Amino acid sequence: MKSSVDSASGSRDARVADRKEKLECESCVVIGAGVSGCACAAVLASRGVATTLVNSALDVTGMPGYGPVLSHVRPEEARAVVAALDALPMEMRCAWLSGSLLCRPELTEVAGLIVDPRAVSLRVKWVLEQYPQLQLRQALVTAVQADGDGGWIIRSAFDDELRASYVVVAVGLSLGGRLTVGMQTLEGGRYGEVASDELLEVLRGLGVKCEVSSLSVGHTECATFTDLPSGSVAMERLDDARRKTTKRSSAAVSADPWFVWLEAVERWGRESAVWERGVSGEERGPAPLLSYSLERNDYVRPSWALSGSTQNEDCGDGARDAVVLYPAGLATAEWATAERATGNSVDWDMPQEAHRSRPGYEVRAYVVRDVDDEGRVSGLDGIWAVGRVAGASSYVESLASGVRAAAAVAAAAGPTTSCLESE
Amino acid sequence: MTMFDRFDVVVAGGGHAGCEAALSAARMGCSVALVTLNIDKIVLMPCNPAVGGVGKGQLTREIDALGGEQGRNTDRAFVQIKMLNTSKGPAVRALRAQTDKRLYEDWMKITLVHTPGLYVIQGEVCGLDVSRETIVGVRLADGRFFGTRAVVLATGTFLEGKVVVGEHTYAAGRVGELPAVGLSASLREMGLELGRFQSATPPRIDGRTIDATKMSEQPGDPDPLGFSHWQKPQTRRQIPCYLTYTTPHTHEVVADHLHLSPIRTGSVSGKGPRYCPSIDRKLINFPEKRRHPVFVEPEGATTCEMYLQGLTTSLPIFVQEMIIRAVPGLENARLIRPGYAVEYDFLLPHQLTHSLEAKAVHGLFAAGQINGTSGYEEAAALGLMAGINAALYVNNQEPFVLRRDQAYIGVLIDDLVTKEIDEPYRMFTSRAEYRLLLRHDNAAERLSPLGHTLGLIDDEQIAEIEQRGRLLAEGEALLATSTVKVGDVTNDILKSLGSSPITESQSAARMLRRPELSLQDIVRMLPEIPRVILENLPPDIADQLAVRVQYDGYIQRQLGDIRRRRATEETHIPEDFDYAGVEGITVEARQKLCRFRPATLGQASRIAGVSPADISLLLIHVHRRRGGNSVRQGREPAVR
Repeated sequence: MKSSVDSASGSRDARVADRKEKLECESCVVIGAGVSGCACAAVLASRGVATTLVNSALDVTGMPGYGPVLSHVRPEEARAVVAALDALPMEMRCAWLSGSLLCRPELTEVAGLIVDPRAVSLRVKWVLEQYPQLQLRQALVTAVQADGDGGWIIRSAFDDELRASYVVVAVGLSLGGRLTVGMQTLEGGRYGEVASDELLEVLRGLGVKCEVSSLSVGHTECATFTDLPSGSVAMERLDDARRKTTKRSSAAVSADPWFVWLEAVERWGRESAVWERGVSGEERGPAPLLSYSLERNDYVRPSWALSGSTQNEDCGDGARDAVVLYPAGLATAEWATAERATGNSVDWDMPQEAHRSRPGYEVRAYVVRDVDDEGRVSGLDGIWAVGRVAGASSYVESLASGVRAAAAVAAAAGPTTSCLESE
Repeated sequence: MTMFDRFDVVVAGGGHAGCEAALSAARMGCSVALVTLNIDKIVLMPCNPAVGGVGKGQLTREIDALGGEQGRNTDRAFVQIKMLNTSKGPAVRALRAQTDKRLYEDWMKITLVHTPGLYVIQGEVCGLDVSRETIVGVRLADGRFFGTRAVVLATGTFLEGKVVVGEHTYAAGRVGELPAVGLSASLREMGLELGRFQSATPPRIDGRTIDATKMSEQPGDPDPLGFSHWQKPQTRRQIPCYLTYTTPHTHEVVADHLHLSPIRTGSVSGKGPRYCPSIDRKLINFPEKRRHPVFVEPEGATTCEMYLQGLTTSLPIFVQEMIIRAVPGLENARLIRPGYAVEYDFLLPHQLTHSLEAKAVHGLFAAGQINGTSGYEEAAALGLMAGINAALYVNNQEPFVLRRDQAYIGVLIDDLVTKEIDEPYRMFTSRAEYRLLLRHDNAAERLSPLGHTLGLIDDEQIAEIEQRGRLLAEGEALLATSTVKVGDVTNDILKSLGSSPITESQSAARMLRRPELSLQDIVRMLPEIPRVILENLPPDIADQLAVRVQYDGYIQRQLGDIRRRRATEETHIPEDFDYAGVEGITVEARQKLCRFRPATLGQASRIAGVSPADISLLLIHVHRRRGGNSVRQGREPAVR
């Protein structure tokens, strides 16, 4: 919190001078406040590294930008998903999960975590604002240059200037990102957002290898329907899921590939419940979004399967697959597919009363090559890359990469004493 | 994906105007597509996290009285609310609420989602298809085409938008968001004239880094208050604002860097709002003022960001930080979002009729900042009217127009389509010559019956209003007929209230004319029966009753004024009237009349450059053309 008025001005002057000498005392700037950037910033801040998190528009801080499906939790992926969420600081994990719906695992192939992107954004931003070591700053970063002293200067489109020892590039798909939706090509990594084209040139100028990604990421399609057929599987909130976890013999359970998932879900449910009680009791804590929707009784909704056809080479004979739809948020009439839009988009036999609310789209962008497992960009001391810009292909991978890099940066920054007055 | 769809109305833009337009048209039975560049930014408040205030609060109240959404939505999302100017006359009393931005957005989305016939669609309207001067459809940039009969343009600051700080600029409708390109060209091709304006927003700081001891706390009203007529206000825990002032030192900092302001460097070509000026503009315009107020306002209950009202600026960021630190209480404030300006195209509103329809293109309506206004309330009011008129147009019905003596909304639209708009238009009470009739307390009385006819107010709601009307009428009758009896008891009470004694019994209504006495004071002095009835009136009705009776003289005078002007006001000028044939009017008047093509003599009289002498001549010619009696019989204004 803000240091009180009675810290003598003399000692403050000395500290300010000290800070200038130590170049912000091993601080870090995270460029981009998406999934990986926020995870990274949270871990850094919780380990005491003075961090500034920068985004071109702070209103979308923490918002998962490509659709509400966090993950299909197929049995083989369950462990990875659990590990990624467990690696987050508890409050970040709760921020994600308290804005989520859980799909029960009984329905094979389609269990998963469905997030409400806006709810997650609201909670993640609130959590980030609580860390004393973390500053948020709204800026469109257009340049990074060495300051000649081992550190970095970060500049924005409006000539805002930040200095740091470490830079984490977490700009998602906005580096030279080009988005194709229907017949339109737009700049940007997400629909409607400004691209970071200048930053791409700057990074190349620094010797960072950037190449067009061979992966094209898509935003899921969303549509609204006037009448939904009756659902097949209930979606539940995590604390409801916790209550309903079935009891089975331990042998049966541990042989079940879903065990890891179920156990994690139960644990997270308990944790979220405590966290939510704790924060809503606080003066300025977020009233969980759902409590405002309670009036509408609108947060538990069924998912259901529509028959559709996927156009890809394997289905040459026009075989039809089920397209499963998930609610795209907690207070919305939109439903989303779990399939990413690709060049051959999933073409549904949409019922007559359906309207495409968000067409799926495809993004091609530049990603950073020669990045090690922890996100270090080779050849550049002090620059990391995480998330989609480093090649991650899912929210889960982005979360994991943000956490790994943060741990590495924190280690490099060394033990943190209170070299920076906490504000 | 299916490339074609059909709707009754397409609304381009999901801001404050767009949402009201979509909701009202859908509620009147149309199928509506609300096309927005970003579904996650619907009704975002890019500037002040507040609704209401002097002039604006009256607009929000009227929107609610007609069945629009802004009042209700604000009531669900405010973190502070207060009635302004309670010590001043009733014409300037207005409600103002600080809102939690996220909650405001979420609640509006919930409402949109639950409105049958309303479809929210992410996309960009880039072209309008017109056949024989009538809208037939819209084209989206991704290739989709929507067949439609009516379009409401509510594009806000996105048309060819450019954001600016100091000398730096990039294309955006708001920071980080792509602008709408292509639609402006499409509008020009249709022969419409566009102008360019700019609007700016102040910096946001971390609320935990302010020194509240150097500022004065501004709490909300403890009494339950709300904009909406249709829900009972609840008390709620409120978050305070803080007030501080700039100092001569702050002004020095600004003055030293004025040469870097976009206004001076020319990075901004559009004209900015006079009444919401940046701090640089304030110092240029008011160099003698030693201090300017700065309100530090919360942006929501779930964020530490605070808004610095009074420090709007697009000066370079390092200057912004210096200015902030030079304000008492903000010496250690941490900047989170720099202030910036946005420049955008707007449609010159004289090209619209009073129903907000383009004169040149049938079925094309425009609402909000695209009309050259500034403010969420102005935008919402225009959106509501455009949506209503789009629905009426689709159903081949007569347009819905409000007069200047009926509503602030009437004043707003009449001003926009009649005056040369050379800077962003903001509503003030002083713009309404009949403001004594257009009060916060009588909005429902004036407008809800009209909303009911349109189908936006249901039977239950109108019954409530009629019931209130009856109580008011009874109260008035009681006050007129009950007497305050002369005597020692009465005179003692009067003396204790600082009022002079009476020498003969007087009616309560007459006593209420004394400014030092309130309704409650008078009621104390009445005999039991009327006293008990009046004491049991709901407080808001009691307030309205008091105002009606206290200001009766002035109200009657204004009503007389309106009656006298009715003849001129409503004399209709034919659409194809030939001004060249009117001898004796000035050249300037002729030019202006041809440009604005007013619908009535009343509107003509308000055009700058048209004098009363010109109006007299016009009157003769209009009569002549009509062959005699062209004056429509006026109606008595329905409310006081």
